[in-house]
Amino acid sequence: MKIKVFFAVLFCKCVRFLAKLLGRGSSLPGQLTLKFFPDILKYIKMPEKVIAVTGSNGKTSTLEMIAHVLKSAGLKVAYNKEGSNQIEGVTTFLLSDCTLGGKIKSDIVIMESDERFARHTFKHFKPNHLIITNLYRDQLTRNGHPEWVYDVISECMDDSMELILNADDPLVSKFGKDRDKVRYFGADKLSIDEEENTSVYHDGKYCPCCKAPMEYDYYHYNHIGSYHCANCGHKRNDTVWTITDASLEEGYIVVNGKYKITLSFSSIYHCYNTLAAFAAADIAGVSPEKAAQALSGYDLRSGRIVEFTLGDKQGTLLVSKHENSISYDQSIRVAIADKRDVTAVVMVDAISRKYQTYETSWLWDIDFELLKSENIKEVLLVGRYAKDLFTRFSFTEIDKDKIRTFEDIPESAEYLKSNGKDYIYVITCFSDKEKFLTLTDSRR
Amino acid sequence: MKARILYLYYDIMNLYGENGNIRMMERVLKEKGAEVVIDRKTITDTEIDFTEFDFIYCGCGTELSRNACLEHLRGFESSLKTAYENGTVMLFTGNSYEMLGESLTTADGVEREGLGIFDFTVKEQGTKRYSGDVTFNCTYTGDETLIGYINKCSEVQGIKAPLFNVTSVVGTVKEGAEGLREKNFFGTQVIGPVTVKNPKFADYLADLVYKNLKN
Repeated sequence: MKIKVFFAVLFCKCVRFLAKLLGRGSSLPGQLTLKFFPDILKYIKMPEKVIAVTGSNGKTSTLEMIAHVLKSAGLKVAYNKEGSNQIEGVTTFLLSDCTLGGKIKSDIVIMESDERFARHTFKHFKPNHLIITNLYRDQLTRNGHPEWVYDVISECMDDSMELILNADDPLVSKFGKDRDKVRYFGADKLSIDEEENTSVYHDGKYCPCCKAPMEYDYYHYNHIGSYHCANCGHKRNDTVWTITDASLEEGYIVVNGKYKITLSFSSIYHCYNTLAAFAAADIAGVSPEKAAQALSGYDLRSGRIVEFTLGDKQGTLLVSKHENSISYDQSIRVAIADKRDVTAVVMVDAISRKYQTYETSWLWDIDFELLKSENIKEVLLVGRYAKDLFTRFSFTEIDKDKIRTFEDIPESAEYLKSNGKDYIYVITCFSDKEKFLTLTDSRR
Repeated sequence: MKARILYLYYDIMNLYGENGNIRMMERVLKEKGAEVVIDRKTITDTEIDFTEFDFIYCGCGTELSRNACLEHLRGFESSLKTAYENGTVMLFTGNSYEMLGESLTTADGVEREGLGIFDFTVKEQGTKRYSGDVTFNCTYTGDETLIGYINKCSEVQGIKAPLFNVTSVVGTVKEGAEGLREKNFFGTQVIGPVTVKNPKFADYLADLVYKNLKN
């Protein structure tokens, strides 16, 4: 067996070296290694702590922040920093960190796992702690639907794993039902909360366990909030890691009543990701003071917002996810909260860069109605799907004279240069963002 | 003339942008000159009279949601049957029309009795999702190629009168006969805003509704 491990690790490292030279991605070495050594992950000697992150949104950002905190605390960390989160990418980064004897050299392993592939990745080894951020309508073309993904994720679990769950997401917290090893993170009632869910749909309206109607005390956003089911008793559980206070205007959160963390980007999303990173740091043994300090003001490398200039106009590109209505809802909320006169640009050019699909149903789940807001002076619908967007917008109450469509992205940029309002918000997916950003004069 | 639309299970059978269908049908019926009234009913409602409506729409849901709706819908079986026999125009997308067959076997192996309006049977499994963009056609809209999206985990057996013929697929869905058309009932596994994506299909349905209003 030692020989097998030796050759597998050596093989993976060599392929990785060559792949890097050829500019190939981080999946290939693991993919080839698994072809010859399909169960190699069974024989890797892991460090004492292995923490994994999965869920629909926020995996990459959360993992990046966990890595940052742990490294700041002096730990040597192995993680899938290139974001390859299926078994191939995980195999690559794990074996790259191994001695030829198959022992992980780092003090701790953290990883993000694609929610659909967790059952494959965690077949031969189990993380000690699995953090689940949220489960939303996300890439239904691949994922089926959130409850289907729930079932798929549960296949990777066993009793040895501790689950670290978002208490405010009713479907995620279902994983904790009748389970001993589980702890929760979440937010107390906040000033930004709403008493009604005003989104296009409400995925928490019925209990994910018994389908009886659920009651909410408040909503942080969409179906994320404090809920309980009178029929089966499913409810938001008490949290170990808690946002006790937050201000998106001033850009900070307070965790557990005493640890203030300033945010480089004020969105409720970022609050949750930061909280999950705080929890992971605690689990890894980093003191809460140190964790809060390291997380304070941390600027994500995988930047979800990009500020740009276009001629003499200024704006921000808000990276959202196509096929993910909640991420769009969040971006729209940022745009309508700005007090200046705003041009809002919605750009859908390729639905996915990873797989072929032309599916546009998700446009009907996005709360575009919000762009009727007083501060939004003009709306540009841009890209190959401009007409689909226009059809969707024709069902909103937004004044038609305010809406312009551009199938050609450079044309829209030219138009913005001369006609952009005080500030521009571009809302699009990371798969499309470069098509716009290459046309800008500077970015940050 | 007043056209009464029922959006059945509007808040639970709404997997993926299905609300677009109600908005589209409202628009098209208005364009034809009808005064449109939309009623929404869901699984907490204890009174539903399906015969009061001129058009009934139900969208797709998760399997658990659909099972809950099936149990609820049993209480209204005869009213729904009467509406169907009367020729009320109905569009059921995704797994919602699976409730109306003889039986429905879910992934856990449990066989549930359907409403029995049609004699097809449904079998679900929990390991593979059939998902994909599809093009299809139907005899009612002429040569027009229609487009849509299927996302399911079931097979339907025993359909006598398919609604569509799937002509091409990007994904894991099979080509060929799809859905069900009996009287004015339209059932299809295509999910999402199918009437928005296919204005001719919306127009065809609205014409049927409008013709019924006049009679």
